[in-house]
Amino acid sequence: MVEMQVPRTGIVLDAPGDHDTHAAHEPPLITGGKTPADVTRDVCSPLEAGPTRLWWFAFGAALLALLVGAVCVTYQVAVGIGTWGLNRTVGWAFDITNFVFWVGIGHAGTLISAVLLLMRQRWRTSINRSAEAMTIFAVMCAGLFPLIHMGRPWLAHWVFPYPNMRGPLWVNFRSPLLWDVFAIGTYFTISAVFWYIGLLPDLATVRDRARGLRRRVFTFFSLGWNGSARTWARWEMACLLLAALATPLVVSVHSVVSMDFATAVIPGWHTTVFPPYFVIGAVFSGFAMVLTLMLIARRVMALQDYITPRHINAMCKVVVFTGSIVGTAYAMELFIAWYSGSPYEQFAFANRVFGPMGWAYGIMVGCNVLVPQLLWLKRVRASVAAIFTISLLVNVGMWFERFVIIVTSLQRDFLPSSWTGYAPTLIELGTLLGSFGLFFTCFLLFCRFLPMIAMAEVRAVVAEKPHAHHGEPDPEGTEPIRRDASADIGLMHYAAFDAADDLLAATRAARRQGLTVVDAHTPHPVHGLDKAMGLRRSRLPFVTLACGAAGAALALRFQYWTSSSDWPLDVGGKPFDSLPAFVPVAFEVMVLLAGLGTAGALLVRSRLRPGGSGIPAPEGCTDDRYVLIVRRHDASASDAAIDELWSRHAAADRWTEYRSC
Amino acid sequence: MTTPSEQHWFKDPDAHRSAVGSRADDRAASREGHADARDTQFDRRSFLRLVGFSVAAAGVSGCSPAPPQTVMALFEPPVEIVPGRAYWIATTSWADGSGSGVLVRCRDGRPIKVEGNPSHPVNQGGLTAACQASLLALYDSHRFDGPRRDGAAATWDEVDTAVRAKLDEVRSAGGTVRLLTSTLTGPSTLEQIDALLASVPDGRHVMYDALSCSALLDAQQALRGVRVLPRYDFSRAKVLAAFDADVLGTWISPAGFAADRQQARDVHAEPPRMSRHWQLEARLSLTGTRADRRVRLAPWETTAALAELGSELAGFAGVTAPGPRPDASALPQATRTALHELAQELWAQRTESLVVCGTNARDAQLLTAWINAQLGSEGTTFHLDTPSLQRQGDDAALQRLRDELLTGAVDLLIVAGANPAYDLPDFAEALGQAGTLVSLASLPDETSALATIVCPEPHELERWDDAEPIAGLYSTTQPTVPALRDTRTLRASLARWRGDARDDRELLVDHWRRELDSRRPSPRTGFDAWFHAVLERGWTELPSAQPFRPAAFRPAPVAAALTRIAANAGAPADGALGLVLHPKVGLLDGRGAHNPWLQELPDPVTKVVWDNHVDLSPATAERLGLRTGDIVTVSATDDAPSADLTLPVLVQPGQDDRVAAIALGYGRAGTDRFTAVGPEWLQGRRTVEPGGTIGANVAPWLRWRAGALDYSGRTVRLTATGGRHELAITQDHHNLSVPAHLAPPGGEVRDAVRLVTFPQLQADPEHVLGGGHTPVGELWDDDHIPAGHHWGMAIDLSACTGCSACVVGCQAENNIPVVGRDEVRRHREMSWLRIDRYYADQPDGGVDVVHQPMMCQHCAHAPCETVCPVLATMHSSEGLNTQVYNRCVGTRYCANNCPYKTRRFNWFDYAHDDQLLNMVLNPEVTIRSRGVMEKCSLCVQRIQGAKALAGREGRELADGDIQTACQQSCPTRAITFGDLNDPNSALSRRIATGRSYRALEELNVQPGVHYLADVRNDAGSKGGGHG
Amino acid sequence: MLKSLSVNARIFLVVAVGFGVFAIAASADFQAPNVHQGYAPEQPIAYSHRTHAGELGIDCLYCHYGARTSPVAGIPATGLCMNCHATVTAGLDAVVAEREQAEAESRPAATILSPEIAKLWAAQGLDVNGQPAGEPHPIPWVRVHNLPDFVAFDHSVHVNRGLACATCHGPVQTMERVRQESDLSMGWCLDCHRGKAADPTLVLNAEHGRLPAGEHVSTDCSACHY
Repeated sequence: MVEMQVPRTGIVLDAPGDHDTHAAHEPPLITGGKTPADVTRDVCSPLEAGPTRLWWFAFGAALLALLVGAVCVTYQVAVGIGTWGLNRTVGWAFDITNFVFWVGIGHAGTLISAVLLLMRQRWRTSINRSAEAMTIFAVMCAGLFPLIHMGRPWLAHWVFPYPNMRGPLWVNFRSPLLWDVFAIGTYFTISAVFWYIGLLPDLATVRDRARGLRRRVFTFFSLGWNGSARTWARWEMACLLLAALATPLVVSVHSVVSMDFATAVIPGWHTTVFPPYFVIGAVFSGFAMVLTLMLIARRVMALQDYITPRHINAMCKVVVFTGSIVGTAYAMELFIAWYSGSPYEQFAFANRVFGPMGWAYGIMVGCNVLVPQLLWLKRVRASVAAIFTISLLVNVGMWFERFVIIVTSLQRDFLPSSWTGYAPTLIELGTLLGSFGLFFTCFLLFCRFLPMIAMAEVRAVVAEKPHAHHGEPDPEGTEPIRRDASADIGLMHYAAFDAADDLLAATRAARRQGLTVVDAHTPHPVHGLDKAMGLRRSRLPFVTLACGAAGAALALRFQYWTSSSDWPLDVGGKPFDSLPAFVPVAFEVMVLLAGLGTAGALLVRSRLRPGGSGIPAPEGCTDDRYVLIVRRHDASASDAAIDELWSRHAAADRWTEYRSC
Repeated sequence: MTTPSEQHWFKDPDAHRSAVGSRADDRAASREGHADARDTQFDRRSFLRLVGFSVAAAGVSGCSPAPPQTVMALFEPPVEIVPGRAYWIATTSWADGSGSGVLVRCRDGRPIKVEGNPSHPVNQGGLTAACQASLLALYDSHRFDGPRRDGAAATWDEVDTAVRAKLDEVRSAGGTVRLLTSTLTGPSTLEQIDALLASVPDGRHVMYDALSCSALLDAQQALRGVRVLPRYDFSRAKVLAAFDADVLGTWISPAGFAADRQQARDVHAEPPRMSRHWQLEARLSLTGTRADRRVRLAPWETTAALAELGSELAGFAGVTAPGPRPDASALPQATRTALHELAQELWAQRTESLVVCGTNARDAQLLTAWINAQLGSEGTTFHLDTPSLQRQGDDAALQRLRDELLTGAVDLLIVAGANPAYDLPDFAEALGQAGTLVSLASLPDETSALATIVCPEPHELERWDDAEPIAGLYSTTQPTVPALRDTRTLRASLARWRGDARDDRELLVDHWRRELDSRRPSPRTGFDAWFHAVLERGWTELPSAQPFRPAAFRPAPVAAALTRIAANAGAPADGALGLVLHPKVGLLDGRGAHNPWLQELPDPVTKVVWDNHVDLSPATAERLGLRTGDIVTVSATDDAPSADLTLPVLVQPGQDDRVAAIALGYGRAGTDRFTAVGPEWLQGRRTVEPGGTIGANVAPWLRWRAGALDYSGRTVRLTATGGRHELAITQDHHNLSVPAHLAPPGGEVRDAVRLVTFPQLQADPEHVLGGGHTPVGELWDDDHIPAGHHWGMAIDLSACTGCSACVVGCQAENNIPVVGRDEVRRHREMSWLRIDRYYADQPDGGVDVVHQPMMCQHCAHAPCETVCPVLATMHSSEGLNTQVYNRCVGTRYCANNCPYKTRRFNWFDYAHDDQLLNMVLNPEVTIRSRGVMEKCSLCVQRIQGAKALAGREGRELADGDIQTACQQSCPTRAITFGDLNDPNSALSRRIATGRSYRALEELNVQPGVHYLADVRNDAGSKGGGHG
Repeated sequence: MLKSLSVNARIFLVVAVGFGVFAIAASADFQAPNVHQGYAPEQPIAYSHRTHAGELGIDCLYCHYGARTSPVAGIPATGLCMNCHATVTAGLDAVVAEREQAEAESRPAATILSPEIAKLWAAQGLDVNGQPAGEPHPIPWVRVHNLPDFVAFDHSVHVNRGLACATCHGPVQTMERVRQESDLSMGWCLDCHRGKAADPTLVLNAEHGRLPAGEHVSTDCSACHY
């Protein structure tokens, strides 16, 4: 079998060379000389203290906005879509604008988690947790709009293909809206799973610091996380796999969203450049939103040492880069419209720029193309106020981009007799406000109740001593740790270390002495520990592959069956078995099943379950202590030899326990 | 009814939440019967009880367990009515004042659709919007229910006693009795009128028409000795010149006229025919939009222009004019040139040409008659021996009546079928002076409000009547439903007041038996059989009671008229504008003002609904600094006092720069009933404020001049008030070209409407449109070609006049809701069929106009279908683009993706609270709930019905078995529906012509609706003349 | 037994059962239009189809004659009932018993009116002696077969294609009180229209000869929904 070239270094500890080159001329990622213990304290203490007045104020404002939105949505659902400013010509406006806007915002989280992870960008560690949370909340806001924009939202379940007594009547797999259902659904699910899996070690940290009800709650949700080296290895693999799945997913989601427009016949929508243009725009707007949030959070939550100028600088570069691509896309759109020779296209864009809603186009170009160019200047990138302003303007501009695309294209299409205008009603404005309310309410609650910085990953960053783990070779030829039940039973020798390097050295030494290394419990994944322990490679990739293949096959088969054999219906004269139309859903189902399968396999294999029932985490190993557990193997070594081993590797503490399960 | 054990019988929640609404379907037995109908809370159950049968379908929506539906059985098995099966009744409609023959489609004992009677000579199958909408008036819950006396409900005995007492008093005291009606032609009614008036010492019957043709009749009287309306035959007119006459829209008998005119322009005939049509008018009328040449002529120029034309013709004939040739120098040079050309064209086609004039001025009509006499076209393009009786009003008599009234000389005034308090100037005051005023209005109106006694008449769909719209053409009216209200016809009332207690039908039948039966040329059957045959057909032809024998032409009055012509008499002073008062297609003189279908019918020219307005030409509006929607005060600058009007401005291309035009028929009392029309919500605005009216009444601005009502003699000054009023207009952009500043160099014209010229068509009928778009082939094999039927449609733009009859026909057939003024402002009108009207500016300031009926195009590659996530819209195996309301979740994606923007979304639940009004609903079409999309279905219910019928009769479906509602209503037969797969169908033959194209063909959506290019006499010939 | 399962398995079980319950609830609530199936409401008159259609063999179309020519089959007018029930006033044994009794008592036999037929007479405005009494009034029959309002079903089309009433309405001739036999769901309609009906004689397509040539049974949405 071909060895899969999956990096074994884990997700945190990057190639040291990489680090070195950066370290030479860049400020450190984490400032303030933090230790892993500092990380724990700094991140957890805001959760343990009462909320600040500022938090209450922000939360109150967000809740109020949410309330306004809820009232508006309730009113709209009760009275009718007519309470929006739409008309027979402009059938979508704020609803789908908000939808695309929020989906776009949701892109940065996954991008930071997944793409930057695959690209070994270390600076992501401080911001990925909040960015992922942002993704989830943004997708929640986004998902709200397709639901409430329906004339009869109480029948929204009809967009799902479920068996029914109408024939059965399935759904139209050729409709981009249906692709949206699958894309957004998958994106939300996978993002949530990814986020939760990443959150597990930190939940354990909070659990171990908490008492009373909080402890019980966190005990439930941390799934018995104990920092076991084996779990870490699988966890790293699962994260990597989810990242690998999420990366094409993130591209697919906004591509699919863009197809709502690109597959239509309306001039101004009917554009092949839309998928990449939308994806890059989403990244652009997402990063702008992350910047906005991070700049606020580092101030409010006193995280200046964790979200440092280096982070901000890196994000600024992404913003100016993607902003420039977006600008190019705008130019290309105009060029292609002119070059197409189609009078409808030419008019659509002339109307977009100079027509009655030209002002919106102006806002869009100004905010998205011109303003971000300031970020080329180092001085601007150094000014928090300037960056904050720019990030806000980009958010405004990107909202207007969607508005411009949707409304100016619809308002004047083919037959001049049907040209109209559009103006939002109070209900629409209130609903937009409400979506921000929902977003910030969720985000503020998240800040209050969950660690908003990935402690485990940051601990790894601060704990890492780049040269240490190359000190000794890993033991060769020794048998890997057996996973049979007998391995876990017996008298266990524990040792706690203060540094990961000591743990590593001790592990290697123990194995050389013929001791069975039962496990290690660490506050973060320790680079090289799996090799030192002689752990076998995780087989999670096979689960992912199998689930993904099953998902794709199932979805394709199902679409063919419903569309061309169970009840073939003539939809726009298209062939019944139109493979191109079936690709999006097949892809989304593939990713969905692969992601769920991977996460599920991780949980089952590592015996993670609500409340936890496995081996409890040794004290401190979710904070700053590294615990190694060995077992004597026949007559391999005497207790004294083990003791001596511990002493030699500067164990801070040592003890023995009899483990019977 | 719900017992506990039945509680669990829920309706399927999907079913009723999705309850796209109710199919107003009474699946039960039916029988004609009679009972009381006085509940004001008139729901279907009481209606069904009333007609003695049927179902009470309980609530169809709502989430509570549906109560069991109860089905009421009848007492006697029905003879002629099979429950659930439609049947037709032939009758006559005067809703547009034409006496058109109609067929009323009834189901389960109630009428649900009014259509033109194809055999009827007046309208030849087409039917105007006003007549079609009259159905809704039947179910108007505001109608009087029973007689009233002194404003309180009374019994028939009470009012009869009172009227008889009054009559006795008049008889004994030698007083006067006057009967004021609109034109009445029914012989059985006229008999009763004569009988009653004969029984009193001084009785007189005065007829008037709110849209008066009195001067035309007077001119005929003066010149030919018969006071009648010529019966025009536009089908024979190779050259037609209409002065200020909206022949196709509102003048006398528009449906019939349009059909006739179309025959003269039938390019499918062999050889192809193409008459020339000149329109000389001040405002842009519907007819003006379809004329080959349109000359803008101010009202005060009309007589001068006619005199010039007549003199010109006299010159051609080489005869001396009866009078001096007036000085035409006051006419603009361009107008004179145009008149000269017109004279040449008319003369070239003399005996087959026709000049008509709609101006209600005696001199203008004398000159028109003189012109026609010179053209020698009597007997071809118009007839006086079998004249039209559709207008008999006598303005002079009316004026005399007013004077009599003002002096208090009228003891008893009976007003029937007319509303003089509203539609005549300063008549309300005069009516107040009548000793006793008896009104026979069926709906409370301005006149009945003044009346001591109200004896309501039934709606014409619930009564017996007869009519003689054209001399010798006897048209019958019969009830299609038992009277819904406690009413009595004029005939019966008059008889009753003379002590004749026979019922209405008896009076009618008796008259026919006595008076008409004997005139049958060769009676082979008995009276009853004949009478039934007439009823079945709806009309018959008999010799008139008194034959019309017009005398030879007397030139003297013409001579007098020619001497009277003064240059520029009546022209407005500097800065003032001439005022043109005109009817609109829907409301006409205001009789349709209580009909929401007509209020919401976009005016064919202005596209405005729910309002009247001051129309100004673009140049004038610019000069005055006014925009559409600016509110102005209209004040008189002439000597006649009139209270100022406040109205919004509408900028109307094609109008004469020197006039302002305002529509009649608005500002009717009681139109604040439409307060509740349209949804109520946070930012919703009412259609009309309580106590207000829809539009403003301009009838007080009419003026008596030379014994006739003058519609265009006033001069006014406009003053901007600074206020704004957002008019509800269904079309925002009026050109086929895009705005200049957004267009590529050279401009961009969208070719949704294509034009060819008649010479081009004759030269190469097959390729007249050129190559067009050549399809480049498909990406995939088309495996969806309909194998059986493939329904499609063709619309001949050369025949379409834009009259909008189809729009109302569609609305009635397909249960399309009325949404109110504010929703139309928000561009949420629901009509499935709209008529796009585009202007093309012409260099001289005139406009070229095209009308394009636009509905779902039933594309084979429908963009709407691919985008629906839930398969609520897809293609049927017969080529229909299907919309399944009950599956729709309302994403509106389909509407966005429709290149024709013909899909309509239910933004709200439109009101179906008026249970009586709900009876107008077509049971064969689902009522859509809010949140679902709807659109033209090509009347799929008719397709299915016709298939079922053919199946029952064991035959194959034949071409023509199915007529869509729009097709049926079209006076000019512009719309053809049929099977594209049948090479011999009328549709296929039309599509095979070279004029056939499809709108936006280049998108390759493959529409199933085809258009036939408009045919013009010659390119750019329209709109000449002066501006 | 549950104890022997691991916690994971138990959680899985709970979740799976939860989903199952939800699915069943959802399918009942959201999709099954057949909640009416078996509906057999009590009628104002205990009219027995078993007696009339079954024992007496009266053709369905005698009363529901609309089915031949109209979309709706119709509820017979009470006058139609009176065709027979003007003379048939009660069960035979009761009439015979009265006749014998009357003979025994040598008096003219009285009209025996069964209580149910008395209701019919009352609806016709007749008293028990057949004398006019009061206004005629309709009988409020309770409708058994209710299609949603957005479904257009045409009886005549089906009856004229030779479809037996019982195909949809079941063995009405055996029903004392009529009940809804079929579920009348859209899928149920489609089964026939697709030629997949449970009853093999109902293969309704041109090839199988139940329809005139050139006609097909439509599965177009617009066949029923418009």
